[in-house]
Amino acid sequence: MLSQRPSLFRERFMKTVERADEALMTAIARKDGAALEELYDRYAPSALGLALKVLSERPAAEEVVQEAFWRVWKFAATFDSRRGRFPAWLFGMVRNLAIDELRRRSAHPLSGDGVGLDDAALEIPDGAADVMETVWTSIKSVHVREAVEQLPDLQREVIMLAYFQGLTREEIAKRLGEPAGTIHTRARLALQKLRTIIDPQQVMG
Amino acid sequence: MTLETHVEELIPFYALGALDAREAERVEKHLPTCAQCRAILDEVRGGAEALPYAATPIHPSAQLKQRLMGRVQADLGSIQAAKPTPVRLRGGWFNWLLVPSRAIAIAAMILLIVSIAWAASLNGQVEQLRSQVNEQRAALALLSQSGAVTKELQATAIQPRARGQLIADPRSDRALLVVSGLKPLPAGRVYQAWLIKGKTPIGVGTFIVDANGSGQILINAPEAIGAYQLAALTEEPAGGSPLPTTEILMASPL
Repeated sequence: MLSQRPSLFRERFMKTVERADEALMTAIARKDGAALEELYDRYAPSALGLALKVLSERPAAEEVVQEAFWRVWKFAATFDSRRGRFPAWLFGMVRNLAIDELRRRSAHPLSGDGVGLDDAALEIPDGAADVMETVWTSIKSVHVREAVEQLPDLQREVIMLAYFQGLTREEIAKRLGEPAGTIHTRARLALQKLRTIIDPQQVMG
Repeated sequence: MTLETHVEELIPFYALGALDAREAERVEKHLPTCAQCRAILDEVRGGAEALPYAATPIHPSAQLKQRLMGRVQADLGSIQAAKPTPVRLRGGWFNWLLVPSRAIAIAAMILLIVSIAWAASLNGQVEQLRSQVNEQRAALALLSQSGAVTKELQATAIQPRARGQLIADPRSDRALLVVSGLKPLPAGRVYQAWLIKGKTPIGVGTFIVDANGSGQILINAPEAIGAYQLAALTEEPAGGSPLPTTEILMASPL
């Protein structure tokens, strides 16, 4: 019983945040600039972390984040909360823009950068506009990184190359010198295992 | 290779966003027809959606936000410009205002009115605070501790105008929570303060707010305030709840 309490609490918290996201998106669709600013304060650190992990270069990563939030501004009316949560929508956009930029540069780093986990300390600002979300972002980040660390190396490598380096199945198979079938299996096992390690109620809301 | 690959095998890469457009379309066409593949997608999607958080959050530069909001303001300007403007300040009042001495006189008058209103509102606040002598004493005691700090609680969307401050020395087990802008509650309902340690919320007192939405509570925590990670506020039934039963109204990390 006791162990369920924090989850319940966190679930309620996440539901509150989700509702807040939806309300902000409705306001942004009506061209409320302050609502965009609030959503930016809430998600920009995670978005920049993601773009930087893909691009390994801060100016380019910041451009990607700006473009993603600009698209939130322009296309808020197309967001449909029934089809998915706002963070998944935003991060999907950030990741795609970053991978596109990476491909444009034709500069896939071959050193394995982005395969391992970031060692950098959490860079959480003091006095951020949405302090509560900042705290939970850091908790989520630590939790997910710990979960990714627990994956077997071979499985982790496949999903990190696919997600953060934007490599195709064929490219991953070629790089790792493994048959495509092995790559498929590792990706599926990795994602299934990640889901079981991460309590979705705790982390994803 | 793609054509020989079963759709089932593509699904983890679909969830990762790592398929080309043709492959993704193949999966999307297939999913509505196959419960088994939809089940696989459900199994892998949670893990894929968590991956953005595997990157370390980085606080963007202030300039980035400025550039974004600059674009937004320009966009709003063009939206406004595109709309027909029914009233335009061409002559009359507008020209009259353009005379510098008049403009300065009006600005001074506005400043005076605002100052009077501000003083009156301050006076009201002072009166309100006077009626809560005990809490103020406690607040003074807390504020005068050398290590006392103030944490601003941020409101969620439920009562976005609510504000809160937690005053405490992290080494002490006492804290004062001062709130404003909260909705007065019906009989049988109270606001409850929580301190969260690790994953466990601990109720540390209930209170109501006055007609202006202001209130405060002196918290005597089981442990030093510095041992907790988060302070939060919810609405609960009178007497309080052992655990939160409604959404968080405001919170702050400690």
